[in-house]
Amino acid sequence: MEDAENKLDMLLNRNASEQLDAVDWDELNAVISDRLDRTAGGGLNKRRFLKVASGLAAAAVIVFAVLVFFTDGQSDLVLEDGRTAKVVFSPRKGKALVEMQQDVSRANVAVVIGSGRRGSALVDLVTGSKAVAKCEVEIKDVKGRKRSEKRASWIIISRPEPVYADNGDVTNEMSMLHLF
Amino acid sequence: MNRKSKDKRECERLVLASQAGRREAFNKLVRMYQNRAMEAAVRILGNAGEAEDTVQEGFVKAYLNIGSLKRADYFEFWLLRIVANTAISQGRAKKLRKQRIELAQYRKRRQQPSAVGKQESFELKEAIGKAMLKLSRKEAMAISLFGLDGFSHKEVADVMSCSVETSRWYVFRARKKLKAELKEYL
Repeated sequence: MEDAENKLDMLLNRNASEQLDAVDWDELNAVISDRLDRTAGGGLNKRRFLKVASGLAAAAVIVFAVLVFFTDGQSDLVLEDGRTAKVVFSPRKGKALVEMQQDVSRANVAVVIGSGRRGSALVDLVTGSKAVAKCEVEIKDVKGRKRSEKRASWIIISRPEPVYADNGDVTNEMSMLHLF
Repeated sequence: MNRKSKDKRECERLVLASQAGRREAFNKLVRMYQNRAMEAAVRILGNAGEAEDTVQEGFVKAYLNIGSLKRADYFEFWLLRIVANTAISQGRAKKLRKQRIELAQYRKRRQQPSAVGKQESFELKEAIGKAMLKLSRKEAMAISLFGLDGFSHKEVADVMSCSVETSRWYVFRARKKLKAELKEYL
């Protein structure tokens, strides 16, 4: 038993010393120094840069979240056919207004944000009493513990469905996307 | 003051200087401990080629994290733990890929006339590398460190942050497995 252990130790030692005999120590040292140089030049700076960048990104997210929470959002959307729409969000009221610019079509969207439920609704953009486009409003999230704190995150997606122009021709309404 | 304690003092001084951001001090630590680190890596991986990659990686990790080392007098144990862990992790991932390449090279060499001694060394290196893969991470680390000159179970236990009895157990288990795996060489 002990003899086998000694033989095993000798075998491992023999292999280790044979392998180490072949090592060029100066070259190994030079390679390690080179890697440390690159690490010191790039690695540490990169780490610092990443730390600063992630800090700035986190700060930007916080500022954005505060702005979205306390202010009404507004955005101009350009459709593929060149028409534009204005979307006005009132996150704390749970309301959004989608308004086409060139014509007078518009849709008022209201959601019950107190329910805390996600979901989507299809609404018409109307001109007078006539629907000219369909618009899907999806509630991505509703946050806030108290009812008074509730607010919704919105995404508005136009439907690739026929749009009925005033003259009766059928056109396609393409991607209209916005996220709040 | 004997040589060993003088080296230890010098090591502590260099660690503190490295922590203060002096690159030259860390370079001296590399020169002091590269042989030790290579031996630990070779004992785990079985061959010098992979061990060199591992040692490079180990020193880079040590350099990046030297600020977290609380006790300067533990540098050697700390470094060996980094190197051993790197060897085990990287070695196992690379092993399978390299083994396929080396096996093809080995078959090619066998067809050519070569020195018997060289072939035996190659076979032994391969066999030890494969046998080490059969050990658990802790067994591989314990048996490899235990083989280092001047390392008793106390030092192994210090590196592995375990008790001396646990170190003994890992070495015992590792020996048992290695004896079975390498029986044709014993």
